[in-house]
Amino acid sequence: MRETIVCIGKIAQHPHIFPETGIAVQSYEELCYYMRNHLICYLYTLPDEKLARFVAEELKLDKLARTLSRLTDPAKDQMKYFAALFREGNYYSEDEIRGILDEYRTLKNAGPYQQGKWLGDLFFSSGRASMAVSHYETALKQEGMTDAERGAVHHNLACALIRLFRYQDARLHLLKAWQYGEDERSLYYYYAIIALQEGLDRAREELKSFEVSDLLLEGFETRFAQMQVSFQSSDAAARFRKMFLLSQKGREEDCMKIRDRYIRKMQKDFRSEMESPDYLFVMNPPEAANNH
Amino acid sequence: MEQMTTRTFAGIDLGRTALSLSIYDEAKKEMEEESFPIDQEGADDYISAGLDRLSSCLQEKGLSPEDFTDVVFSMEETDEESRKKLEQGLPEQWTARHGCHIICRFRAFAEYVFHQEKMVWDRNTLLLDYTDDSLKCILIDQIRPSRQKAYRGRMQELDLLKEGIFRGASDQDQAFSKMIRQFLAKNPTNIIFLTGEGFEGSWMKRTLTCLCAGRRVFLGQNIYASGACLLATGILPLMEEGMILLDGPDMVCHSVGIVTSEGGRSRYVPITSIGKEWYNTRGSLDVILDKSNRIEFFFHNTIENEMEGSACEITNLPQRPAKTTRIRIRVLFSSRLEGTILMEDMGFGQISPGTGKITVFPFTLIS
Repeated sequence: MRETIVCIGKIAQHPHIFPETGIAVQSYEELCYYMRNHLICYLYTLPDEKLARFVAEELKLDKLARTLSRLTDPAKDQMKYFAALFREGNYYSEDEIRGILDEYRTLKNAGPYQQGKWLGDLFFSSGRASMAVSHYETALKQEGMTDAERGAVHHNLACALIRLFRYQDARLHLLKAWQYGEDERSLYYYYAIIALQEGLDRAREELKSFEVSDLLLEGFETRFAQMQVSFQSSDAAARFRKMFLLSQKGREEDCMKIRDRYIRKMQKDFRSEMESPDYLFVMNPPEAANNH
Repeated sequence: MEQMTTRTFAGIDLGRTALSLSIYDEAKKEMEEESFPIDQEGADDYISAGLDRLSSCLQEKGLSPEDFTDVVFSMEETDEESRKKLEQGLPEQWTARHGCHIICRFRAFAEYVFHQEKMVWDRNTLLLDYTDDSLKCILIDQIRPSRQKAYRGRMQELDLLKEGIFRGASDQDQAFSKMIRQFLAKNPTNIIFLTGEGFEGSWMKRTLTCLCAGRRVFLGQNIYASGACLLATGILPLMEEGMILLDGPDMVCHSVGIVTSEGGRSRYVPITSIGKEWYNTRGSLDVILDKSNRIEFFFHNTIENEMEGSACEITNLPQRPAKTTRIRIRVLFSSRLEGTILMEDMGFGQISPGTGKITVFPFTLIS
């Protein structure tokens, strides 16, 4: 049983940032980890020449860089690219590499709606809500999903829309998620959005139209109350309380400083969620998979 | 046309009785050697006296630290106090450009020998350093049997008074030649280097006859400075590969490493290698922890060809996904047989930020 893996290459002075996820890697091992966990992004394409240059100039792995450069051709088998990358160092054992390549094969052979959902999930967890929405919407256009699967896609799409403050659109998809998947979590989120926007009474009233049990409704109300209590102890709530206190004391300038700082941070965080330029679409839309 | 830059290297030997300077000019492919005696007055603080002499010598030649690509010092005494004194005695401009690379004379001779043509080091080579009433003998020979060609340097010090050899005595030559004949019978040698003020004068007729019988003999006072200078020109591949075992004062004979599994086979990965003084031996290696927070170190005794292992558990690391903890291992020696291994938590880049926590693992080796 091996307990330590010897690292190869150098630590990069200038990390390579993957445009799809905004994640930066600084070493060969981080690169392997990233690629292994983002195989879904490279089903029909491969990282561009910039990565090979990074491997040569920053990681000082010239031989690997030349190999990757040679294999960075969409017409070539992507599995050879990954095999060459993982086999260069010691991060993954041979058995692990075989397992990863098997997984890649499985991903590639999966249905287009599944690939779309997985991509959506990946971008959502990477803070790219806008891109996640595009992939979920594309997945929903595909055929062959079971009701549970369709429900799951609607639910995740709603979560991405919530990140973009598109609450009305989110509500619609949460409803569909409940209709298809009958997952209580979808119904709870639906309830929570209404409670936040229109108040608890309205939310209770809305839920009664679904003929849910009193027990379930009570459970939702308790959960919502707990969510509010948790929020009260969060940094954001503390910030709001501080702003309120400063305003009460007539220290408007200090209050505005805190508010402006908070807004700038929110804008910065939101920017990546909103980004959805063409160059970030590194894979063909799932319907193109039918041509492969 | 662009002017080609050529490099100049210097080796400086600081001894109680003399300062030696060797300068190698790459363009001329020549070694310029000079030796400056240190008088009795300067003997108590020979390091300062030597540095003063060095400074005036360089001034006379119109040279400054910027003129040298690299400089190495060899010292007669390499205890911590002496090394610190040298380092502190150098001008700031000097240490800023070259640092302060110090080696012992034992190593300086080995570097001298191995930088020569193969015929010099591929046969048994001996240095005899006659200073005061002692004779230091450094023998370099091949290790046999050995799958790969490897070499060894060993040192002995003989008290000439106990051998009945007295400076200036009428029988000095006879007694010395008798002693050296017996020594050479036990330690066959093809090439001999003589150094030290004890060999000066014209007393050794019989001794020379004995030494020169079937051997090549060289006499010079700049061996150590030249060895240091040659080290400045570059590290030998044989040395880097650990093919030269130097068993002398200050020299580290243990390599420190870890064993890793690659392609189902175990492989020893050294972090430090042999062939240097303990104060010049250090190494660094990055590893990723896999399945446990334990790192097992292996200490290879190259003299006895034995391996000893010792494991260290790194505690209080945050919970992270598997294989996302990078540890930077640094090995430092505090003496020939003692040292410390430092393990720093580097995390895993943006994926898992490092804590910077350093685990300290001291070790003591058995010689």
